[in-house]
Amino acid sequence: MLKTIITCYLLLSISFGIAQEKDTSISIINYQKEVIAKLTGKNTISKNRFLRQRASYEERFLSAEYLASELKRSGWSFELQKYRTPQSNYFLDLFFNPNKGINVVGKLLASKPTKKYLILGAHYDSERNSPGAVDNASGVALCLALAKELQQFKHRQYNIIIAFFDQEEDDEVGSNVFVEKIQNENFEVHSVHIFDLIGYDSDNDFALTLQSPAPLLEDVYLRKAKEENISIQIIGGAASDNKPFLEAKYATIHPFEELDDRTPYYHSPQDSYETVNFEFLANTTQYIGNVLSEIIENNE
Amino acid sequence: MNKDRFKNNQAVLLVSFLPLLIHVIRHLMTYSYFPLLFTLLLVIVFTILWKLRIITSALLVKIWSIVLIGYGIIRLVLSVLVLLTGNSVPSDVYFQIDIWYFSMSVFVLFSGIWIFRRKKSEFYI
Repeated sequence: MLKTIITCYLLLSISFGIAQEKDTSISIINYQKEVIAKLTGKNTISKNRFLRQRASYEERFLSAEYLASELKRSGWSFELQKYRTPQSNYFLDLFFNPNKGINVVGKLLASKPTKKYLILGAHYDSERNSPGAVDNASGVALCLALAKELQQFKHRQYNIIIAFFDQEEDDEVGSNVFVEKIQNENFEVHSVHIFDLIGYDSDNDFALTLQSPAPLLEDVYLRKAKEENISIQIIGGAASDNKPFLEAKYATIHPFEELDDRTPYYHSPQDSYETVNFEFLANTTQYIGNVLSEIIENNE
Repeated sequence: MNKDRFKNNQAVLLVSFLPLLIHVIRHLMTYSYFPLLFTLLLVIVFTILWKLRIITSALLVKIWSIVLIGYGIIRLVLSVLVLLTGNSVPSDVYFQIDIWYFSMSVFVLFSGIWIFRRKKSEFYI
């Protein structure tokens, strides 16, 4: 009799745990669907306005306003970091006006005052004539879902910044401006986690690539991946907004989709909402959430 | 020639400096000094040549008009090139090619042509 009761209790606990995990996963999927639908023009981003791409200043401004409102909704403070920079070469400077863009920077303070920051980042602009669903509404949706989760952490060892960078597609202008700013202001940075191209997974194996992980991050990312049965490949180099951070010698990591299973619609008009694998995106979000929980709550 | 006509000519000559001046100031606001340095280099070289009487005032005005014509033409050619070869150009540059950019280029070009066609005596010089 006692054995039966214990068995029933265990079965109920396990199924309740699984159901709860599924609920979390479903709520992440629904939220990320909403975010990506708005950023890619499947749904309106503001009154009667559908985005075709996020390349012109006006489209980027609308996106930035939306991202700021989402951060605010999740209980984060935010700043719209507007900037102007010279063009990428002197010849262009003679004939064109300076670059104009906006980084959206959300901030969540640590439980106890500290000067240390952990930075999460994703670019929100897209290539011209591309809805930019995987590149990089997926990275933005991941960060926004994490914003909700991080708010729930009971004990945060670090101040957390979520930075949505502008103009990654034009030689990482936005992230360069951001790096210059945190250097000038002497920010103490624990680590920088950049998310770009994280929504495509045609074989549904949820595998990931980690680019140029700093040793302190590589260990925890690999350990958590092993626990969650996620296959990981590690490569070097820099291919996104991790470039300026690596150059400035910050501890950085850039997780993105499996190297051999990357979106075939990169920078094309077909990079649309329909090509995003939302289960993969939600699974990756939960995985990153667990990694961050270990770093932020346990002072790993 | 009446005085009003002289005044008009001088006004056009002055206004023709405005687009470049605005461009230089916009870049200075982003700590980008190249347009200023380039403009200063031209101004210094031609001022020295003029002071040394190697070129006359009339020639100076002609050179300025040629600079304007060249600048206007390059802007218009760049507009066409950017619109034709869209994908290799940064988005920020691509979206600057609008009706305002086109109008400004045409204004610079035509003010250059207008000044070029005036005689030396028409500028009080």
